[in-house]
Amino acid sequence: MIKRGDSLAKVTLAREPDAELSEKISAFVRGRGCTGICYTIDPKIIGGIIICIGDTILDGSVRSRLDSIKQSL
Amino acid sequence: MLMTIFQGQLLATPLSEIIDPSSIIFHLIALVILTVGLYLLLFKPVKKMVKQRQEKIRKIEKENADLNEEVKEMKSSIELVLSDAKKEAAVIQENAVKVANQKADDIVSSARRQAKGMVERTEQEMEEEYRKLKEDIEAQIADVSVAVAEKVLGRKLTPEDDKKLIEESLAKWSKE
Repeated sequence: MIKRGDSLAKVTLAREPDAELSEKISAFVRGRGCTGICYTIDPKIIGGIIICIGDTILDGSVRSRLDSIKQSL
Repeated sequence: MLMTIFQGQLLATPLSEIIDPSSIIFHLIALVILTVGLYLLLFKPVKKMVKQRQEKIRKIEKENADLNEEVKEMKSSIELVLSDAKKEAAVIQENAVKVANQKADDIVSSARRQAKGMVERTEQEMEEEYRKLKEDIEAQIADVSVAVAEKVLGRKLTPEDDKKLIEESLAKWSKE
């Protein structure tokens, strides 16, 4: 579970988000008790999003899905 | 001398005149003395010697008989020992043959077990190699597939698709 009260969420994306997406991400992390966002652009994740709040990681990247598929294979 | 006189006077004088009675007695006494002397000096020692010789012969015969008996006993004993030895040799030979056969059977069965074990080990090794090879190939296929998928997705994933993907993730996490 996401710990409430952490002030900064680290968000990793494959490309720069547009305004609408940034707002949705901000709303999401605020809902988890974060007051700020630190974006990281990493094309290696191919697509999707990774959010780190404290010691909790929400990984919705294409890279992780491919790794899961690879593991299954 | 007497015979000469006797013959010479046979026709001339009777026998009673020719033979003197004292002479007869004298001759008889001489005969007795001679007989006793001969008995004592000759017959008795000879008899004694013959008796000793007979005793000696008897003793030798007894010894001979004893020796013959002993030889016979030894012969029978040797025959018995030989018979026992032959029986023992037969038993030993039989046992040796049994042991040799048993050993031969053991060696053959051991060789069969070893051969069977070798075959089983080889089969296991082959199966293991096959399994490893299969896993390697599957892993390589997975790697290649994922690499291809990465390249395809990297090229074909549009910003809109990415945005949709992110929104789906956010919606999913919001529900949790």
